[in-house]
Amino acid sequence: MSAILEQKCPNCGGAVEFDANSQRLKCPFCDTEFDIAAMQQAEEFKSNSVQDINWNSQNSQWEAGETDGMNVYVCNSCAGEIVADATTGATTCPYCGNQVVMKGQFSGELKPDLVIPFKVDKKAAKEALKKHFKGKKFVPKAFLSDNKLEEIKGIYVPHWLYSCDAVVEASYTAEKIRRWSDSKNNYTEKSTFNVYRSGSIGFDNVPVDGSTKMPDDLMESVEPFDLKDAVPFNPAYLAGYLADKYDVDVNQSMSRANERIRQSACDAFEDTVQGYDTVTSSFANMNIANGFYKYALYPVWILNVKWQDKIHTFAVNGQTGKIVGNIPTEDKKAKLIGGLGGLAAGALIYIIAAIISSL
Amino acid sequence: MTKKIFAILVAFIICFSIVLSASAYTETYVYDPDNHLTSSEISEINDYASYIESYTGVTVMFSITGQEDMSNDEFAYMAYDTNTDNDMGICVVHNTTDEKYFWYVTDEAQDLFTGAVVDDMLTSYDKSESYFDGIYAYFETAESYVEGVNIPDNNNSSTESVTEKNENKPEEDTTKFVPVDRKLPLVVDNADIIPDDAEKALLERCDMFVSEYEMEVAIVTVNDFEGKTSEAYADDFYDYNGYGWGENDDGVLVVYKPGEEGEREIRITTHGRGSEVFFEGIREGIITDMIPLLTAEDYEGAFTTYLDRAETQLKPGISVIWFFVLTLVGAVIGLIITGSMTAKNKTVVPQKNAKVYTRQGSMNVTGRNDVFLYTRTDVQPKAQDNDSSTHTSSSGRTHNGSGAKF
Repeated sequence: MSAILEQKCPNCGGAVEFDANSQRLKCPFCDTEFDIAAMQQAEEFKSNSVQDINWNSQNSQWEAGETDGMNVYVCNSCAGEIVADATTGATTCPYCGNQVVMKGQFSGELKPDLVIPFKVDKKAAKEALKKHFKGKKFVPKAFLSDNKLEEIKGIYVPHWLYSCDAVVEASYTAEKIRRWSDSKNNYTEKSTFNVYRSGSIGFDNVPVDGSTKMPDDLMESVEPFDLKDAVPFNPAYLAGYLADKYDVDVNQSMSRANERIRQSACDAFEDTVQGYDTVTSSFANMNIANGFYKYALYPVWILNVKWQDKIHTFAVNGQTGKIVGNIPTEDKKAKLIGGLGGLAAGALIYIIAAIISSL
Repeated sequence: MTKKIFAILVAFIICFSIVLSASAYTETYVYDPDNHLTSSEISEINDYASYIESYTGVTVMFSITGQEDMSNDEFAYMAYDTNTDNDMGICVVHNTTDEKYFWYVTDEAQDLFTGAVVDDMLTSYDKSESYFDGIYAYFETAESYVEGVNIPDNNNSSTESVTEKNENKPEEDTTKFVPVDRKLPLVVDNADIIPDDAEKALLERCDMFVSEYEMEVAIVTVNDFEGKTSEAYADDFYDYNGYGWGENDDGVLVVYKPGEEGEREIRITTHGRGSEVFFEGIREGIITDMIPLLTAEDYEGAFTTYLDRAETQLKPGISVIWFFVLTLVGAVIGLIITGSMTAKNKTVVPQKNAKVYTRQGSMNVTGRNDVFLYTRTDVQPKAQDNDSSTHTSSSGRTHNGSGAKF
């Protein structure tokens, strides 16, 4: 009983008390009454604790001699490390454009489970970028030239892929609202419900960028990649391309995967709460079952353009051709043209209207 | 025989009109057996005569006939006597056969309708080109001799008997009739605060507005509101004196009551198109501009300001305010357009969720429970009409208005 006495009113947040007359719980602040059983059930929903999320690995190991033709290069400027096979080699850093030097033969590190080979070649990527830039307004004319497009580089970006069943338990405060009025007053009747949902939903291969050099938002923007084209990793796929080494390990990347999975799982269960006018999540708990991760290399064409001391990175999805990247914009010019143009148009409309009305 | 038939006919008309109306007042003021007037003209004249009777207590009648068998004096008496029992009135007959006039004046009205007055009324009738215009002019002239008895602050002399009768008349009867035509000038300085020269100039300008902009802009000053609110007084003054131009009585009227600080009151009432042209913001702007001048007793300046602002509103063309509104709106729209263009240059957006990676058909809801907690009903009193400036006057017509006491 003491547990019940400490409960808060779902309507106003005040501490509810047991009312002997009605044999129900009553809020002394807003006079709302509740069934004890309903309140207990609502509290039980909330008492569930959030459990740790555990993931299992399915990574495979390098076989003897498999890394023999793979060299590691380090950038003198940004300290980024990239991998290229002996025949391709590497001369400039794909991230900052400065010189790289060979550090030595690739070793250590986990072996990628999967790789999605490039389907968009360099020429197609360049053409797509050129077309992409042409359609944009208020872009400095000198921003791009063909020479800069030549600097586009194909790079396999390391990604951690997380798969799991998200087990969700959630409760919601939902309302059914009925409105009516008479000659004097408007009435709003709100019937409040505590709604409980539990169950599971599966997610496959939620990617998280494993490279600190590659901006996470850029990689999330260039999604999705389709794993139907993925093949087991073979060093032969690196020929002609660069590969980034992961420097964010699976545990560091996990939180971002959990974040995205939790949001989708909660959204999916909230969508099952139907028949109400308002639904507010009051509590949600998500556990992971059957969680495991893979290590994959995703194909991305990267173009870095330095403009006014700032590097603008553009990415082309090497599988789908999707282009992302923030194009430098002449914001002041855009505001000036928009503001003055609109002002002039408004003045013109006034003059025309004044002439017409005086006729 | 014809005389009897005519007498029966007149009696029938009178009885019929009495049956139709419970009012103590007459409904037939013009008799036209030879159809010199159309029914709508007769109706309009009857309305006018009824209005005169309603606020003066004096019955004025007119008959136009080619009757030969009955003498004109008999005819006039019969027409009057069978139509009304009001002992204050006159009935004039124009016999079109011999082009002669005769009139019957009740004993009580002998002092009011002297020979000179009747001559003046007949002159008005005679000099008009049509019967309708003539008869209307006859009633207008008659009204000019009898109207003063019941208008506050009017210096016209009146007979004692008429004044006494008006005092006894039910008050509500004075506010029932909205005349078709305006009965007073556009500037009525009953408080006598506007210099005569200025009054004349203001009146000329008000008259110019009517011809130029087809809108009556009126100025009224009073010493008191006769126990009414300023809103009711302004509305009633507008309605029952026939202000307003055209079919919809378009117009604006300002009423000002001078006094000590805190007792001065100004009211602007609008009707018809006047309510559209002089909307709330404009009315309040006019009042704000006038108050300092009225406080300084610069009445000519205050009412000139009122007319200046009115002319600005009425003049064809678009207010300068619209220039600022249009350019501002244009600039905002322009910024939104270029903003949407530049927004397309930014395509780097972090993902919010992992929806695209949801395993098909994997959703499995195992627990589902909806528990009713409680019901609350909020009662909110209905909001009052925000546009307090729109109201219905005692005549039942819709007015808009603004006012201030200072």
